[in-house]
Amino acid sequence: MAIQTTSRPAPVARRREYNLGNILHKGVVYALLIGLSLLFLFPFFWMILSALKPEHQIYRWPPQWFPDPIQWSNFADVFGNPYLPFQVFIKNTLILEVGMITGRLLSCTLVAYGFARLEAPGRDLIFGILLATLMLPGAVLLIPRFILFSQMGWINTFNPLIIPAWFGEAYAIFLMRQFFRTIPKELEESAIVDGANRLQVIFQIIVPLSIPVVTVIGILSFKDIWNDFMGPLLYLNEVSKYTVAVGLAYLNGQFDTQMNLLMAASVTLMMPTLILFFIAQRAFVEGITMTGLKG
Amino acid sequence: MATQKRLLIALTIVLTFMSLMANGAIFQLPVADAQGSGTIRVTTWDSGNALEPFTNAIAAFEAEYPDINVELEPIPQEYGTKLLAQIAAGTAPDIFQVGDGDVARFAREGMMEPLDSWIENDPDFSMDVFFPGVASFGQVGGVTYLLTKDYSPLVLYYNKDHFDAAGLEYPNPDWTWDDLLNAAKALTTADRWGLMIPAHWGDWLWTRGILPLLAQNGTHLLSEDGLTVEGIMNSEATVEAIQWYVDLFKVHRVAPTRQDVESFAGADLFANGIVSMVWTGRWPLKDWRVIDGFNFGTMGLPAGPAGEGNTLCWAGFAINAASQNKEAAWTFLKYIAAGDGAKEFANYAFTAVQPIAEAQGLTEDEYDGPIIAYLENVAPIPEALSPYAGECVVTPFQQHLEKILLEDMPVQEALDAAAAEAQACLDGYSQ
Amino acid sequence: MAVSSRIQLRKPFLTTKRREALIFYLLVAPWVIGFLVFTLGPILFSLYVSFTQWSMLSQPVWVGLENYRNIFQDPDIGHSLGITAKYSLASVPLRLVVALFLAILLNEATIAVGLFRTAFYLPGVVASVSVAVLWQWIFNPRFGPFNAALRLFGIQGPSWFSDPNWAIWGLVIMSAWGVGGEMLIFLAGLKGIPQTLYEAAEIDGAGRLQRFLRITLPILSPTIFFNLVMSVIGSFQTFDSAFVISTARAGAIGSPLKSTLFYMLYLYQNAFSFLKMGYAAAMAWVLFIVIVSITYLINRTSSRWVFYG
Repeated sequence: MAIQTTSRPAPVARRREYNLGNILHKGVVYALLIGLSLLFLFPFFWMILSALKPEHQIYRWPPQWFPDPIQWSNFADVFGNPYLPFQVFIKNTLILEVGMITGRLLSCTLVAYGFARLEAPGRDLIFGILLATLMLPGAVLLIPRFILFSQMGWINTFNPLIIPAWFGEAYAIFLMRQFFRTIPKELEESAIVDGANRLQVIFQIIVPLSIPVVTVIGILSFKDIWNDFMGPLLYLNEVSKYTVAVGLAYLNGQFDTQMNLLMAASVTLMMPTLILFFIAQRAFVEGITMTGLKG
Repeated sequence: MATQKRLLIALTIVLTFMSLMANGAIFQLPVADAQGSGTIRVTTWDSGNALEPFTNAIAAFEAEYPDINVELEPIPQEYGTKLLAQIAAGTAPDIFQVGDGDVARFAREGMMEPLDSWIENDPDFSMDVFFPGVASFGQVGGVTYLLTKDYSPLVLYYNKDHFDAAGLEYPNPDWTWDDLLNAAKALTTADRWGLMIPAHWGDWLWTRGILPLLAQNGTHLLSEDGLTVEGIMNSEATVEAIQWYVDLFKVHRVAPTRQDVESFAGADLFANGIVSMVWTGRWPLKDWRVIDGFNFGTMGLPAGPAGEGNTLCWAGFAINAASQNKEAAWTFLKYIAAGDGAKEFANYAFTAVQPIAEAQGLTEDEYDGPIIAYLENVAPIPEALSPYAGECVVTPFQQHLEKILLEDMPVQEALDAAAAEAQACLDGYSQ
Repeated sequence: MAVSSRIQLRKPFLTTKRREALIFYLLVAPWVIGFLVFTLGPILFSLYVSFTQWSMLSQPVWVGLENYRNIFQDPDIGHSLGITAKYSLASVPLRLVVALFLAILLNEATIAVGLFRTAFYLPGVVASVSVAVLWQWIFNPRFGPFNAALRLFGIQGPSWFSDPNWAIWGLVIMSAWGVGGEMLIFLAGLKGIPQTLYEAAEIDGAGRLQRFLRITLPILSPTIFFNLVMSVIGSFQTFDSAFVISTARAGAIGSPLKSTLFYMLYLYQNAFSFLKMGYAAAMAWVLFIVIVSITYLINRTSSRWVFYG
């Protein structure tokens, strides 16, 4: 039994694919991809157009598609506003991103491996409890949790957001466990026979084989932390500690929404997540992909 | 003899203690020059540029009172949730903003410091400076808990060009329901509605905007003691007023329905000339008055069969009953509600302070003048009459009003059902 | 001799089994500790609250089973649970199919695939406020793109969010747009399928559909299981989209005519509008039992269709 890993799917028998059926198939695939991605991108165009309009044009009838004149100053109004220090919000958000994603990936990998591979009394019970924590609506835990963190003296610090991330997160643990379980056991067994300990197995065999799913968790975490509104809003009191999502809420207040500015800010602040995604998604191509079991 | 002596000594000791305690108590009492010191936390739901009056007022205040440090903690959304969490955890700010709908509830639960003794003991401060109808929104059962931040009555806006083109006279202070309906009919055309009611954003269940109609017909949704709905929400007068309201949409078709409004996807119907009159609060005024060539006017609401009536949308500031620093909080509160700080807020929304309003020339203003002239006959909102009105009164009312509007349920039948539901809910609380 | 006695000495203490269990406990310790410190307390507190009347402004008052009794007499509970179930039944399969379809399309493509991936992922990045505004515009009955597209086929579209019969279906369609996360997870799963299996099947003469049914689906089944369970849990707790859409212009929660009164919306309304946190906590525990039961049923069937490597 031998396992072959390469950085790209081997171009085996590519030439065989140039027949009519395959060309047709490719044509349909690309037609669908282009059509659907336009459909998915369309709202984004609309947001950009709105971001460039003077406010009254947004509420004009009949609706006006294109801004006239293009109001670039919306961006300056948002990012030059002394009440909205977005550079501070971005800095805070990045601190949370780094602190939370590192903790989450590390802890979830260990915990998920335990659930995926090891036998122990009570394992299924503990896993059941882990899943159950996802099923109780968070709305009723909001206030008890706030009371808990305020008794710990953590209010108006990043602690209530960062520290729990180092203790694993049920969703990511469940997802990783599912993927770890699809990795053939024989791989680690031979490594253990060769004298590797479990940590070595996890970080030298399991993690490299799970780059796509680790990337997915990283990408989804980044987005969730970037967009999380309730957590920072509840636990942080000072404007100088607020995050991007809370900053955006300033443009969409309880009673007053400046739609064009909101769109200008939303579009701009989507960019970091999108750029990061564009870079990270290469893991799906270049990550080590198992090409199969032979033997 | 010995007993007498001992009694005397004991008495002396007791008296000395008592006078010491009394001294202490006097020091604790809010006296004129007790301004307090230290840090106080203030929270608001305002956001964006609406924070400007806060930052300006705080800067000026801290310059004037160097011993007091004010920390502003704005909560742009989910204000209620965060405030509740803070209250539950015992970490709520010293001064918080309260909306009209929560005043009675917060007062009942003892969240807010009663202000009467502070007011009495403060020679610099008098409630007389406020418009009386406005200040009453901060009182529950005769006790003052809040000072006004800002407010808005309901207003009638009208498009002068449309009136001119139709050869109609502009609305005037003597207008009645019939005048409003006749004008709305005359102004309605194939691509235009005569009247948008009760809100400029198209929520036809917005109870606050409908309430003036009830007041103008001499009725309400519940009794003044907040205990009875049956016979009031479904009274003849209420049914008549709601019927008049519903007929605007269904019989006369002079007002856009919710679906009509939605089909314009957020377009500003009044500014775009799609409706000729709007019945709503003062808030859109600042946007409309800067549109070039937009020729419109404002007027108080027309009188109904029982005369004039209006209500307010109101917000105030309260001192947290659990605050550790009430002296400083009171000093800041009166500064932003009635002192120099209030001038900052007056630039942003209606002020409740009469001298400031006069100095601003509000009564003379082309648009604000007619609005501010009608601050009498202001009806209390349901939420002020009962702490449970939001759940027990407004919610069933809205749900049944929607059945009238969308499912053609007869008004009397719907309001009977709503009143029964509301009464059962209120009775559940008073047990 | 010496070797065997050493093994006998160690055996009662650290058998392979015990060793494995010990390592297991060490590995999952972070989560267990985190659970005990950060989560268990709030959960127990919310359980306690469900037996009280608590306005959050004053101390909870013990009322025993009253909240639970009221839940069974409250017509809006059944109504909102029904709406939530209807929404879940429609949106969960739709979301899974759309996500899997997009993932397979992306897996087939070789050129500019990063751009396509980014495009499909994009809706997940848009903040929920903007999403609400956007969809009200897309579903605008008169000039919204959705009804305009229907008109091309000669269909007169409904007025979606203001029509009690259609509002929930608008939300279902809306939910299919934000499947970026599920799509990525499927994509990660597809990347794990050995290419050689397809090649072998192709040599055996299996068509695309057969390869999909015999290779892709079975190997992807743990991923499908994950997405299914998480979608069910998520859809029963649907809140954001429904809240923003139903309160965006018309103030009443769940409007029109309670047609979008999702369970979580009703729970939220009780907790934070009516300040009935005790009732809301009891509602949360009822929902918890519903979700646990459904997940348990799904898990029961999983041995028949989920294959682990």
